[in-house]
Amino acid sequence: MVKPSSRDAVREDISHGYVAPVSAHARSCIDTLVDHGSLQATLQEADSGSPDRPPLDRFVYHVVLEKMSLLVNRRFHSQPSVVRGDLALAWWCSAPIMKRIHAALDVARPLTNALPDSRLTILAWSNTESLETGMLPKQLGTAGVPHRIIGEDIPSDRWTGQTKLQAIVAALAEVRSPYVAGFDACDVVLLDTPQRLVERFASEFSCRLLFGATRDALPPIPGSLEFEETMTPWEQSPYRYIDSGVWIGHTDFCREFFTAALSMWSADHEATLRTYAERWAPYMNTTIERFWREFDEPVIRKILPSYGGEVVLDTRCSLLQTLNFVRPDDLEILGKSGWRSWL
Amino acid sequence: MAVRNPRTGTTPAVIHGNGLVFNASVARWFPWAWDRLFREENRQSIRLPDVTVMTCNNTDTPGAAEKSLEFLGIEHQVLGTDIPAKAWNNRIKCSLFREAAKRATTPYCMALDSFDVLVLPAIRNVVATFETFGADMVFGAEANLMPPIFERGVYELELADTTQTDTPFLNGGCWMTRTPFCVDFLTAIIEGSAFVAESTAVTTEHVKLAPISMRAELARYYHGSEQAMLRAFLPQYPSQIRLDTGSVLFQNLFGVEGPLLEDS
Repeated sequence: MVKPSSRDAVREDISHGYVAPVSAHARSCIDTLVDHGSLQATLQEADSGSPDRPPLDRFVYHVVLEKMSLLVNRRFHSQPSVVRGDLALAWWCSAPIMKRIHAALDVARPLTNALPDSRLTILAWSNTESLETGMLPKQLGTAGVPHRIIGEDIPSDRWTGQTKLQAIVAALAEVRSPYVAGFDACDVVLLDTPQRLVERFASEFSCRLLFGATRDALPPIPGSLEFEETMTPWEQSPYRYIDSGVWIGHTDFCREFFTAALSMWSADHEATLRTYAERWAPYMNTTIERFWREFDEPVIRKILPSYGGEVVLDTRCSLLQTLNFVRPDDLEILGKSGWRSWL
Repeated sequence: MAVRNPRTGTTPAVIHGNGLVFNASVARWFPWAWDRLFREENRQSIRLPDVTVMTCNNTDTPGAAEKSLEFLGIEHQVLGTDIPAKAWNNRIKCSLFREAAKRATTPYCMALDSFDVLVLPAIRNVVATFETFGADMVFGAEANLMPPIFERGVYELELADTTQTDTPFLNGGCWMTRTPFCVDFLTAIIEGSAFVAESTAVTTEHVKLAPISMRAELARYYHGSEQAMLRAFLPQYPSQIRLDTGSVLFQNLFGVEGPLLEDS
């Protein structure tokens, strides 16, 4: 198997003039790949050692990885820069997609071998236990991208939406960069460099804070979803509920917003959770109150309508893609789509 | 009172709020159907002389299935009442249902989950509806593969046209069958110990992907999943078993998006 080189090595090769001439085969590969052909198939072809098919050179990797997105949302023709395999172990699509994305990232390692961007601070929340298997810290650590883990000192039995928000608010007070991104450490993977993430957010969105959007609303507290459902009718996009596990925004605004959200976690909110738990009691033989307390979405939902266009959900998966309940044909990974391609 | 699925045009006899607390669709439509059913004018006395209706419940609290069956005056059996909570796992259901089917004197059996199933008046036509499938056994179908071990769902994905249905996967919470076939099928599963060992190994690998704090619970759930066992045996009965991917008999709510039910 041809192994991709690091970006520094590519730069070095270019500076030495080793890879300046691009072969006809390499050019053809680039064209194919930019048209969303299969990178893996091309690599295998290059690997076959055919004398008239020289192996892909480093320049090809460089061009390919600069131009081609690993993941395409076919419904909206978007190329998300961040993917979240929300509850990847529970939803049938998520787990294989995340596996495939990991495989793709292994091939395309230079994509994440990025230089730090001083404009962006990456916060990733996790407590100690889930940190052990967290996808994002592993990826960012390997790629050498600076990030800050928050909430690691909160024991699992004390982890709630409230403690999560407290950790975010405390961390935001210390952020000095103009942009900040918050990700669930456990199940988020970056598909673009931090530089490109910032550039895309700044150029493609006019909002101050962008949240991921998911097909399922958790927790589904009756009456709490009307704003999201009104803003985005199902026919327009099934990705219409807030996913607070993935967001990016202007730091000063995020400080204000998350402080406001935290202030909504009150005795009233806890009473609402209890009432809802009791509402379900006739249908089930277990308590859900503890489970619902782990979510910060309900209090964020309460303040969303007050912020108009300043806070936006990425309902077209332009930058942020959540996998929860994603349909097989919605996504294309390295030019392949549908469940058969994940086998 | 009838409830219609506007997409399929069907009037399912059973609503299954599988995954009650995890999903907006269930949270919306299960109470919606509940509120419509339990109106005094809907109370009836439905006789199903050809069907043994059964559910399992080892708690003191009657589930939605028992409540709705009672409300509609439908005779039914509640199994497993003497099994202690600590000894319960879902695979026990296969044995309980098999023994009940052996005792049954009706040509058909219907098995329903207890807490998250609502039976609707459309059940009065259940035998005729069942016969339209041309099969010996019909399972409900759902949107999610559970346990979510992808390779295990390939057979169902091959069977279903995923462009036409949102619910390609077997759901073990509601099914109907001819009684003799029920006994044979469940016996095959109960005696399929080789599968259990293999399944345990596969799920153990899958569970390793989870955060440490979730592993024990996931392992317990996956290893105790009777749905995983039912799924494993599906390919052996291609002509006898059908999945109700069109929500003709059974409407599973979990993960089905958008407008789903309306008054008929």
